[in-house]
Amino acid sequence: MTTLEPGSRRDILIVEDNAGDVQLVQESLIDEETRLHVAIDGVQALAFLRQEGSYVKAPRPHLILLDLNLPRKDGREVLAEIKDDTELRLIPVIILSSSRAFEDIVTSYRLHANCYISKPGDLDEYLETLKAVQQYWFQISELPLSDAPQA
Amino acid sequence: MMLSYLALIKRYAPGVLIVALALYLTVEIKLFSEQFKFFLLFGAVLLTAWYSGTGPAIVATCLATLGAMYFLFPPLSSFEAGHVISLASFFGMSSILVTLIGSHKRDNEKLVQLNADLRREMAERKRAEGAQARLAAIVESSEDAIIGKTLDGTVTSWNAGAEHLFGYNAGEVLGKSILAIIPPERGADEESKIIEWVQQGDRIEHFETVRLGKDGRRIDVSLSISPIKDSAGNIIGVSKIARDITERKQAEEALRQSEAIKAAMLESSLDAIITIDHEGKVIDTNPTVEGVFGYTREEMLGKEMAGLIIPPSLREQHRQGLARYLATGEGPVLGKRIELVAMHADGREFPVELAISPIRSPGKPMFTGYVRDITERKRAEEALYQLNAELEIRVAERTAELKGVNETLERTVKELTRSNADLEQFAYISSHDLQEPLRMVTSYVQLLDRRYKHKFDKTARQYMDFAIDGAIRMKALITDLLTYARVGGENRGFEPVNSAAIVSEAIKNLKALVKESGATITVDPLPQICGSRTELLQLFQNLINNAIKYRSDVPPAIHVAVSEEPGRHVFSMTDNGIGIDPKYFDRIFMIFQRLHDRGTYPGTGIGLALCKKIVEHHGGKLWVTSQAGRGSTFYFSIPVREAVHDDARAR
Repeated sequence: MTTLEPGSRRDILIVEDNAGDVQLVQESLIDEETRLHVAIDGVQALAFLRQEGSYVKAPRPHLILLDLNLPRKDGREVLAEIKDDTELRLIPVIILSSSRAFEDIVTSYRLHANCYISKPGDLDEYLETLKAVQQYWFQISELPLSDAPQA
Repeated sequence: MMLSYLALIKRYAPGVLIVALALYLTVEIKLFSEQFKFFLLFGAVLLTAWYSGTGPAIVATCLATLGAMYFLFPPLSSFEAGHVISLASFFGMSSILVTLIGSHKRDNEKLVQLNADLRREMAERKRAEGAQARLAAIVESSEDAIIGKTLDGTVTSWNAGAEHLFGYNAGEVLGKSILAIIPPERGADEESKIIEWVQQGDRIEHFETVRLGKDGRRIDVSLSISPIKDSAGNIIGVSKIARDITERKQAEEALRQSEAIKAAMLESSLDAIITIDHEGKVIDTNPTVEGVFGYTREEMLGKEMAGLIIPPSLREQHRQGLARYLATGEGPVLGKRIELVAMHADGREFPVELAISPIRSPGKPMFTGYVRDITERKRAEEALYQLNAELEIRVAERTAELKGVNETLERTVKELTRSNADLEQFAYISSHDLQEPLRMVTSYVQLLDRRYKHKFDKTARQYMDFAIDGAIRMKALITDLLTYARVGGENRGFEPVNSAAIVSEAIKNLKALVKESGATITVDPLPQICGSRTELLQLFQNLINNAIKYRSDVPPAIHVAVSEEPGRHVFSMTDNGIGIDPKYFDRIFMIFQRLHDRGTYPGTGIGLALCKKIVEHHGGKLWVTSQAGRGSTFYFSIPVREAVHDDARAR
């Protein structure tokens, strides 16, 4: 079990246009050690990741939660671009999508998504899933925490 | 008269001459003395007797005596007794000697004659015997039966041929009546008739009749009958030569039959048969000619055929053709069937089928034509042709019609397919897109309920309950709708699937429900089938779910079975639940149609519609038999097929 060093923070980027889902994620995953950043479409997400424009001072996230169906730039494109970038590709990307479609799942993995989770319709199930995500990604697996300057 | 004189002279002359000579010699040559003066004369007379016979000798004697009397003796006036005695002695002696010699000679002659006669007779006899022997040999060696008999019918001769032909040997028949070999019915009558003819002196040739052999069989014979005459010319018997003509008769019969058959063949032919000679004249016709052409045989014989039955316009062509064949041997129309126009006796022309063959004969060539009146056939052909033409028109019309209909159908199908695809896409997208907002409503209403319930009053809580309930129902509906829409879309094609394994999995998925209801599910051995695994699982699961859900008071007992039919598997699911009233059999398969309220039996009403869609996607049919209160049996068929892979979507 790895924990952050005291004083350091986990930064998670969620790319999601649905505020309701953001809220649920917020409630489930965020604690003192974790900060949630929100991008509501793909363009914003990439600007954030590339620390461009108004995101010059944005921290590099340790984990990305990515919805597939986004306005302006589709989640699959964002995924492809992230994994194409030599630096950005280190960041684990979890596809968090309401689609259960086989094609979407396969495409995501083909584009090197680290895992694919379909949003359960049931509230309790959803909450359980997010809890599990937290446990797995924050406690069980190692994140490639970088030495990049933190904001 | 002259001849008899000549004969006389021939007979008597030598005697006269020789006496004359003797006289002269005696007178002139005075050789002989008185005693011997008669010497020469004597000799001459004897010679004459010897040579010419008694008559001339007597004449010679008389002449000699007279001569002597005149020349050797003194004249009569001085005749003495001694002279007379001398003369008389001479005359007497000569006469006696002449007579003796004459008769001796006569005897001799007679002897010689007798000898000659005898010899001749012997020779003749020998000849006759020889001839007879030859005759006998001829008779014996003849293959024909040669029978001799007397006038009363007794067999007198019977040759080897007769033995062979009739079977009796000579010993058995000689001396017996000929009636033995004559068949009783002909019997005596024929025999007496033959005898009559023969007695009239007639010879009978080739008299054909029947005789009996020793073994009783009847033999056809041809008789040559002739009379046997004795040397006086009296008819003493009958000679019959019998020739066995059985074979000939058989051959004749066979020929007659063959001829009769051939004639019958020609006569019975429905075609007119005409034979013409090298000049084109009719030699023979068969009876059918009359019916076809209207001429009798007699009217046609000897006339030029072309003039009778060939239309004027074609006559010259026919004659030229005939001439050409005779000249060059080329007959392009010979030996095959051709269609022509012929002419009836009444002048009308009609179509015929004709075949002409040349007949080989040692003389000039002949031709036989076989003519068939094909008026009817032509008429039928024409009618058929017309019919065909009409039919073709109709077929073309119908084909155009059908083509039009087909095109319409195709268009309709295309539209329907498109419409269907649109609908499916619509259903899919709607349900998919609806899920998001639905999830939001459900989740947040629930969260609201959980976290702020203590802040609500009773009415608010009731409102919340309704909202939540509605949200949950909507979710169920949309989920089911999505599932329904997805059937046939999201699959990867059909593959071999173990239906027994699927049923087990379905039961496992319903474990909780099964336990809670105390259901017993029995499953027969189920086959390997070809289909979509996920869909089939859904299908079985839905049906079993229904069977348990719609149970009656007793624990549900469900039986899954299969019956194999040619080309398809027919599965059945039998339960002991509440059953279905037959008047609802169609409705239950419609989407969202329910027969019960949600309170008694929960559900969206999509279950059976989904099952139906899945079964139809597999190419089968889904139906039910049931009675209210007596349980139901759901049947569905899954066609037997090869695995189909549709990998286009997988990529």
